[in-house]
Amino acid sequence: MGVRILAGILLLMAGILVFTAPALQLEDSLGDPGPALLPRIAGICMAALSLILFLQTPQQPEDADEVLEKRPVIVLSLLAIPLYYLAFQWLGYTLATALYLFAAFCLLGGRQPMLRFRYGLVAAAFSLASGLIFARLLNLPLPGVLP
Amino acid sequence: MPLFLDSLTQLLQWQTMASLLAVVMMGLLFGALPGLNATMAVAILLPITVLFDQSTGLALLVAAYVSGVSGGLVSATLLRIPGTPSSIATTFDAYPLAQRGLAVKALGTGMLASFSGGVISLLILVFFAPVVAGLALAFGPFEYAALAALALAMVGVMSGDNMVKGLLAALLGMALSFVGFAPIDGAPRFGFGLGELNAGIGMLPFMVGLFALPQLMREIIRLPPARKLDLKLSGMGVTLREIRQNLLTLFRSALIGTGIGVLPGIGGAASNLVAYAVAKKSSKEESSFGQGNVAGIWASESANNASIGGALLPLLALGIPGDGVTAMLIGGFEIHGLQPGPMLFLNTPDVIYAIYAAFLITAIIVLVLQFSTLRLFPRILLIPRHYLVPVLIVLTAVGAYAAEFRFFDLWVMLGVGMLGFFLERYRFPLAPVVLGFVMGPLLEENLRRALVLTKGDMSPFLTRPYAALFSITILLLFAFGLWKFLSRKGKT
Repeated sequence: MGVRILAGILLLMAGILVFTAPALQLEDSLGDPGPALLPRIAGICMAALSLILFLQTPQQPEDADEVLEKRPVIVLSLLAIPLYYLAFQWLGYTLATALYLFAAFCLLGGRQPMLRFRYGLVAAAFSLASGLIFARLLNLPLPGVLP
Repeated sequence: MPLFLDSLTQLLQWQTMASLLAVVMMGLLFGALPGLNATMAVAILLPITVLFDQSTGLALLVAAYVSGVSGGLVSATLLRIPGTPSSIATTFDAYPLAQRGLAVKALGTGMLASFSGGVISLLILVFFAPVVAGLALAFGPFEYAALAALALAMVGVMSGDNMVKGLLAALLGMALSFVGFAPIDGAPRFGFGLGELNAGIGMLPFMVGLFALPQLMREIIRLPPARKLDLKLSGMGVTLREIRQNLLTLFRSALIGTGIGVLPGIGGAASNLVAYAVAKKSSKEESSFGQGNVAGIWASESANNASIGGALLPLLALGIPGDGVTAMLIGGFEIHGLQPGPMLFLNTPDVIYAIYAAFLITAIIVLVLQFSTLRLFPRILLIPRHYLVPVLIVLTAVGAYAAEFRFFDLWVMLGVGMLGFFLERYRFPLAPVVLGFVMGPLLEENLRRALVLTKGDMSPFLTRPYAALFSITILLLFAFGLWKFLSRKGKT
């Protein structure tokens, strides 16, 4: 089923390419096919192949080998990635990284208090040290590097 | 030769050597840890090379590539898990040998084979790249457009076991390359009113998003349990007699690896399996393959390293990437304002020689480092994943942001990463996506330039010799793909 949904998304993309590209057509082109030609060709080919994929009976298991785990911890660990990007923007590198690493270590690792203390230390040390290396040694102007 | 020696001298300065050593260690780590690979090592390193000059930056990327492919040997031998797809065939004989208490012999043989295969392919690269580049100097827009289309067709038809998915993946990458300003006239396309999208999808967030994020997401989802590793390594190492006995296997496998590496989209993942199969078929002890025959390790490891030189050949001589990693190296060239291809040999030969020198130095460093840490290095397989994966997610974020210092790129990377995750999950090959993204603009620019030159006449695609050769090959390739598709359908 998943493959068919993906084929549908690709078909939609193909439609966007085919139907929005004509607006780009040049009027006086001197032989130049203009910026619409290749998107249209690609769109038509994508549409045809997506339809074949949609209609094709799967000859092998559709999904990758592993079974997706849907435990809350896994979902939270994945959600932490966009949250980290938001925090990176709002709080700056050092704070966002320390918070993200601590949260990710706790979610993916063990739950004993001693381990959490260690995770906190590692997260703080890594974010401070890497921030300094990026900003001072490599001259990368990252936002919010402490100290 | 003087340019090569100059490049060698430049790379042998202590600051550059220190960077090279750090990158080699990183590459070996990525190659050795199952789930991480050379492509990811190059993706993460790509933004950092901005901080170095052209030659050093590209040399570091090549070092990550070579060491990343070489690192796969360790987990293949000790855990029976290929660290990279390039080491699948290594598990067949190296693991049984390690199980018999001869892990040092298995690892030592693999290290020597990797080194030798890499050096043989480097020699082929040094000899043939200028010849191919010389031929390519005569190429005009028709030839380049046909060659770009051929590379896309090849990668779509030949990669993976489903041609429809391979071609769709290549078209998808090409479709994403259309976002932003069109070549030639700079017409804005597919920005949907978003100012940031009008600038196009950045090469770095795209590459890192496609290759690193999906893998890290998968690692989170299937975080493996802690591994137990028997590190009591013992054995005899490699004997001179074995080297002599396997010289033919070594050279043949290196040639197979280099040849397969040249073909877009196939690369090391296939070369080690093909070389192994050939070695097995031509051996008098065919039945001992799979039970710890060192010839199997010689074949697999020399072929996978040799495919590096093969993949670099079309990249340097024609500007056409041979696989996902070399497509990413194009990003490295772009960062430094360079365009790989025949003009590189004329305008900046120092960069070419720096790449050759980096390949050679990396092969030596990998050999020395792996031999000297034979009992220590395998311990990296015990690094807990719950530390490694979040740290790598942080590094990918820094890499994507640092490319152009735009927060928007973080979201582009996430979007591309999610796309890559679902594509991989439903068995779409990722290499065609990146090749489509890289080759799309090359194809479009040359096609439009060609048609402007002839006022819309397409006949030179069949009348100019090289363009005709490439065009006919495309047709033959599609005929082959269609035949394969229909014959498979007939069987089922």
